[in-house]
Amino acid sequence: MDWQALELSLRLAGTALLFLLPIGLLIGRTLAYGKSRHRHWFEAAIALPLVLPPTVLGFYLLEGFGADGPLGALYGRLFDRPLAFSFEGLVLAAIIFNLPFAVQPMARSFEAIPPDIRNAAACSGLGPFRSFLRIEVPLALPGILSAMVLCFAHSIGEFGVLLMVGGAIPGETRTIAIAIYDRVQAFDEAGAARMSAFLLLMSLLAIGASYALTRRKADDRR
Amino acid sequence: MRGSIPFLAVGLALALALLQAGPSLAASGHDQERPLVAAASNMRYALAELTRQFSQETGIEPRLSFGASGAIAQQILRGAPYELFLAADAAHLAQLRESGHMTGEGRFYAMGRLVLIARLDSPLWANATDGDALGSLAAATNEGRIARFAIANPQTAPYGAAAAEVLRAAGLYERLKGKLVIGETVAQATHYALAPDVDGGLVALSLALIPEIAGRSRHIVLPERLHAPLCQPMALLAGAGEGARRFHDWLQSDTARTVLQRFGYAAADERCN
Repeated sequence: MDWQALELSLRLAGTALLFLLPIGLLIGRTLAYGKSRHRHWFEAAIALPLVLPPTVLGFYLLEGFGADGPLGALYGRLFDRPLAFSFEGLVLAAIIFNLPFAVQPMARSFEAIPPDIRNAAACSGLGPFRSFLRIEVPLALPGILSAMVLCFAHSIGEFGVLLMVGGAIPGETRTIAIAIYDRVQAFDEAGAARMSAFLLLMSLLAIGASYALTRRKADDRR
Repeated sequence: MRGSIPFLAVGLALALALLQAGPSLAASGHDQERPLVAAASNMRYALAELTRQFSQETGIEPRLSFGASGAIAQQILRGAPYELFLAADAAHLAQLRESGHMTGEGRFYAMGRLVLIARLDSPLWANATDGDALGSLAAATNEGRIARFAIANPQTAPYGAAAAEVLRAAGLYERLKGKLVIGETVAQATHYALAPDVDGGLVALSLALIPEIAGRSRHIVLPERLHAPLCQPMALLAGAGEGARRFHDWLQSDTARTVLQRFGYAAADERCN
């Protein structure tokens, strides 16, 4: 078992989550209540990582993150180290490829809140921000939670994008999924089998917990 | 409803704790004790043994990252923080020298060999002659005993380029073209070559000698004259630290050369220059 890779994967997933939660809430809510006629295009852009092959996404990210890319050059000037092939680069990549997994469940559960409830909150004198915190977030919580679980599991499981953007640097960008690939390449099938089984179990637990939470919320409401 | 707020809080706290527990985000520059080495995948097995011995002698523990030489060169061009690059051919180093990513000229540390490999029960071996890799392959091809044949990607992996060269020169390339399974690296090609539905492949001797491979396969070494010599150069990269420099020098020592020989590499000779 490659504990270093596992720790890296968990750290990556946790860090990405810290960013994805506020971003997802903001974009999800905007999509749910927004009135713009063009928001379908915006939503489509966010959904792109769902349908694009990881190689395409990885290619564009590498172009952007590389030392000559716009983001990579800016980051290099600010921090004097490359963005591609670094942990920070992986975090940024994880935020991007997880956007649809964060935004869509949240948007759906904000949409599901009856307008009457939000109107009632406004009539009772709750400002938009307090209404968001006290009324909307608690009601949308099942969607928010399952979005977070999905993002976490997806960060840990993603392979192609992270390999292209990160290389496979031990302790820096060699996540558990890449370590498994590496073990297979090194003809260490026993090692690959152990790590794969561990990842399988962990994913099942994560998704199972997410479904259980959502189900309980649905039951609560009845 | 209220019951799940603690879940979220606990989740966030966990994420924060993980962040704190890990090494600081910014602290990953060059580490003298753990230089970052990128290597062509044919070196996978030999390099593990080389770094083991080097660490015992010096206490320095190189971190290894493997890939196709072409892919690693691309990564370096885009700013990957490797300090030493053990390539499988000189072409990819030339690119790095021009772009100023290398320090110094680079040194040849080994010459690789190509082998015909297949699992023990492959139809490839039905009519094979020991010591005649090409004849055995030609016979199997002409008698239609090969359904799938693995080589590494000739565009990115030098062992793949050598394999394609051999097949072309022998006039077998056209006949095998539709049956080729292309591995991204020579290590992946070796995997494919031994897969149940694949009847063989042309791969690196250094990989054919790995116990896990040698135990379930047979191989015949190809004569060197059949392809351009597989001269493998290494180069210190811009920003290489002291640990990387010491490893670079140690790899040219007699100890290292003995290990390399044991893993199927010859010492680089004048054909490389």
